Amino acid sequence: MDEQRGDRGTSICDTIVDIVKGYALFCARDAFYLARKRGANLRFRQVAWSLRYLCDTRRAMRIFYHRSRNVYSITKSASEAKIIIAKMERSILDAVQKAEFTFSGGLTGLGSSLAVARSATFLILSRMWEQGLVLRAPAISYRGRSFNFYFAPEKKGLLEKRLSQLLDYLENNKTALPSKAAQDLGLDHDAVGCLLGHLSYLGQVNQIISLPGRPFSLPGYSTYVSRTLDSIGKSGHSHA
Amino acid sequence: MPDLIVASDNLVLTPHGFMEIEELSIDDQMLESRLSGGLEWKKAGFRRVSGRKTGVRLITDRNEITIEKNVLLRVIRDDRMVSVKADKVQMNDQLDMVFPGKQVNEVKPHPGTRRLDQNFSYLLGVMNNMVKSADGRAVIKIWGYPEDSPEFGQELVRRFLKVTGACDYGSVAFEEGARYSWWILPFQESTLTKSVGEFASYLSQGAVPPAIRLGTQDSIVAYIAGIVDTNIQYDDRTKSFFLSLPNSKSRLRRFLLDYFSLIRIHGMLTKVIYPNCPFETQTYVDMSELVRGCNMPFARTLCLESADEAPGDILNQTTVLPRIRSKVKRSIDHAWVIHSEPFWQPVISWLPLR
Repeated sequence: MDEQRGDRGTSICDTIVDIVKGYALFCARDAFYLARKRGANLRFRQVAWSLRYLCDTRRAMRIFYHRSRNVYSITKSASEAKIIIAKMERSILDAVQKAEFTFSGGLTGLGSSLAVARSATFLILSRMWEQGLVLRAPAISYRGRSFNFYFAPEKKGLLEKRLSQLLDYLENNKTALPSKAAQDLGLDHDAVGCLLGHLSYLGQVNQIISLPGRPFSLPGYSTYVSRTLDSIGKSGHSHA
Repeated sequence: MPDLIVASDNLVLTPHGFMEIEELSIDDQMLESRLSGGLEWKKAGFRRVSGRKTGVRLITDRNEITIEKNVLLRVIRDDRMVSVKADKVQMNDQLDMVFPGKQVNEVKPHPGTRRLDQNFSYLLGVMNNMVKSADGRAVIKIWGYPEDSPEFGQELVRRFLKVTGACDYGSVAFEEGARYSWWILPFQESTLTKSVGEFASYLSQGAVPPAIRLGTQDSIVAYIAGIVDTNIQYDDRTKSFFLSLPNSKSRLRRFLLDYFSLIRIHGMLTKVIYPNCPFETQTYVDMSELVRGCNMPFARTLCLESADEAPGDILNQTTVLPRIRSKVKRSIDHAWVIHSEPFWQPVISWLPLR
């Protein structure tokens, strides 16, 4: 019985090594999702324990520890992993400086060229925020979910400027869709999405759910629109 | 927790608990050790606000203290250590230590500090959540529980009319959003901002005005009542009430936490409430802790006197109690709350559930 368990343990470790061999840096969550993708019926707990076992037996190594999560590497030595992290940080900084404000999704996608898995990239990004290399601000998506967007520290002043610009735009145009507002103001579409989400997080704007695309508007306009739509509907019925 | 917080007229919070300034002045030795130790305010730049005949008031972003003008302070100025008298302190000097043998006088409010009435303080608390509507009206952002807020909307309009004398442009409207709800008041936002005068800048920065921080106990309590009224939330999962103060209101949150510590209400912690908002921390206030500490003035006004609706009661100004009461009552009706639960027992015994 014990032998069977031991065999199974060894085979899980082999499976995990096989799954993550294409990645220079990864964490347990990445290994778990990759395993699920390949159809391996493993639990997260099993993956996490196996990775610890792999570290104990020196088949993998912990590169750094952040937010109660470990970042591992299988094939690289510690010095090589550090070089990859440095490259990753540089490419994140480049991306953050090129764009005004970016979603974390776009930044975590940068890791694919350096064979850094998604969650590991996010941990690097999160560590950079704690070190003050990048700044972040909270926002709400049009689905009501909370997310963060990132920007370079020198763009902190620009954030205030853009927010007031967007508030002026909303006062003049009453509603704003990110695509339309970006076109009108000559800004990046993603940046406008982030900024409108941030205003929504601060409670300065609301969304009109009854209109397609759920445009953003200042509070009070949504009530006006829904009343107007109601009155149109009623008059339509009365004509019928 | 800083070693020394001077909160209002004569209250000081030390690591040994809450003390009055007079006691500290007598115990010279103890005060010196506190001041020469590593204080929080050593990190913050502090500025001289006013020179008085007998003392100088120094205000950091955390503390206010009055000391004799001849007291020698060792400060770091332009990266150099210099000894200066208290009245020669300049902007951006960093306090290193106070020389022994000197004592701190009683802290008294600045003569220029405006005494605010309770209604005005309450509205300043509420206006921390004020934004502008699509047609330029003032909008108060609240966390959305439409069923228990009509009283709040009406109360706000009544009080704004009383204090600011703003023109009434019609009725108050309620608008619901995915995350927040808004009370659209029948006043122009610019009119209200003008009517609060110099406090507008504090509101825009999310800071607590000195007139509140250095003001009377009544004005502090009324200010906090306004904040509680707009920021209180009910957590369906834990069946408890909490104050929602996001990270953007960090200065306000720090003031509240300091003040609640001062009145020995410790049932608070900052925690992540929603798993889908992992980076938003909320300040959680355990209401039952407020009730337990009802021998303290703030808790008494919040939980006992306003429940009795005694005339002249400070927290009668708020609509928090009726809202909490209706929520508790509804929870009991749906059997979500069990009377014998330790969390709810004091709340139910203190709040008359009419």
